[in-house]
Amino acid sequence: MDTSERTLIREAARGNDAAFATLMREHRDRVYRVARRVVGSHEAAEDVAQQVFITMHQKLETFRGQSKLSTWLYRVTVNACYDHLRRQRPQAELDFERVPAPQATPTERVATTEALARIADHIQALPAKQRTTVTLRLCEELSFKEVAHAMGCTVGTAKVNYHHGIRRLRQVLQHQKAVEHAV
Amino acid sequence: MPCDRWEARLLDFAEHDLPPAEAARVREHVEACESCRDELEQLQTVRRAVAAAPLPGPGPQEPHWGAFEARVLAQVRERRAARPSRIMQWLVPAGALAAVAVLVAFVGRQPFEAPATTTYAVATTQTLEAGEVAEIAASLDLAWDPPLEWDLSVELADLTDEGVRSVPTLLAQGSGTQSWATLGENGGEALGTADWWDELETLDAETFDALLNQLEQPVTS
Repeated sequence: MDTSERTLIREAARGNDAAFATLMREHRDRVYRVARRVVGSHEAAEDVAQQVFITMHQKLETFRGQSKLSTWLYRVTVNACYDHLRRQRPQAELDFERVPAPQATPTERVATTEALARIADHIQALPAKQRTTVTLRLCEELSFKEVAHAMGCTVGTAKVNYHHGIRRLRQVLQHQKAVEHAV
Repeated sequence: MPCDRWEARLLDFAEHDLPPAEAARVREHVEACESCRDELEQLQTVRRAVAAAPLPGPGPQEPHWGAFEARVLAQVRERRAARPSRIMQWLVPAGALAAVAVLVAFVGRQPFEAPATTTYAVATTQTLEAGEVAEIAASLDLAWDPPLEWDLSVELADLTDEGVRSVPTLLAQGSGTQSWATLGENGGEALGTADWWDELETLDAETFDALLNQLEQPVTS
């Protein structure tokens, strides 16, 4: 962590709102980005990001800087996302079961092609842990060690989730390709 | 279809997550095997596509940050205003702890027969190392709740990392051998030492609250 960030943290912990706002501005994009990819909607991601920064403010006094603030914030963000998903569980982790099989009718195939038009939607349909690892690894370019830290799991578990996620996405894209060829 | 033997390693290869010798073996195989080459290309395509994917769902690609910042700062100020003054933050929990100490000392002197099934978290003085932090968290059965576990380990880790090596154990779970009497003997002694109070002065309000909660929490043995 560089000196200026350390100074900002110390100042913010002492109640300096300008320092806290500066820290927030430096980290808000990545916090929002991860939250949006994990929880899905803009509104939910904003709520999560807001909660993350309030938590950050509460915990700054105890943040000693062993890790980078960004690393710590990834962890807080992932936890806040999971809290949100726990509250929303009935709607979470939904779409794969609804993807029609390749032998679906032409109408369904067209619908499927439209539904699978964006890779972002495919990522959303992954189970939460797979979605989180894929997001942190590929969109945030974290190492597996950092991913594991953010998720509070071992590197091995992070890799397993990541592998499942990527293979699932590959299957969906293959399926999409097959459907597009068929229609 | 990729070869069974190599399939699992292709993604690791794409991730540059293999030792050099292993990576060389995969490379050699992929150059010779069309189906594995195909699989690797697909995996790399997926990786690129994910990395380049826009944010999901409807709505803007980023919030209106000005309004966002104002909302967060408003909440921060509201919480700050609702917090008791620094002195009150200390007086209230210190009073509560003093009450516990008096109770503990009193009970310790009584020919008191504790209920057989209940013990209480004991405040003792002990050194916490990193591994113990995890053990304590595990003993509290917090594994089901990652945020709570994390908060706790952050607090504990921060205490140790700060160099506070001798702190009141937050949460020695009742082992079945502890009783009101031992609480009176050990807890009372710990509560009465000057070190204890010095240590308490280094804690933030939340950690202090956690301490109090634990002291108040019955542990079933």
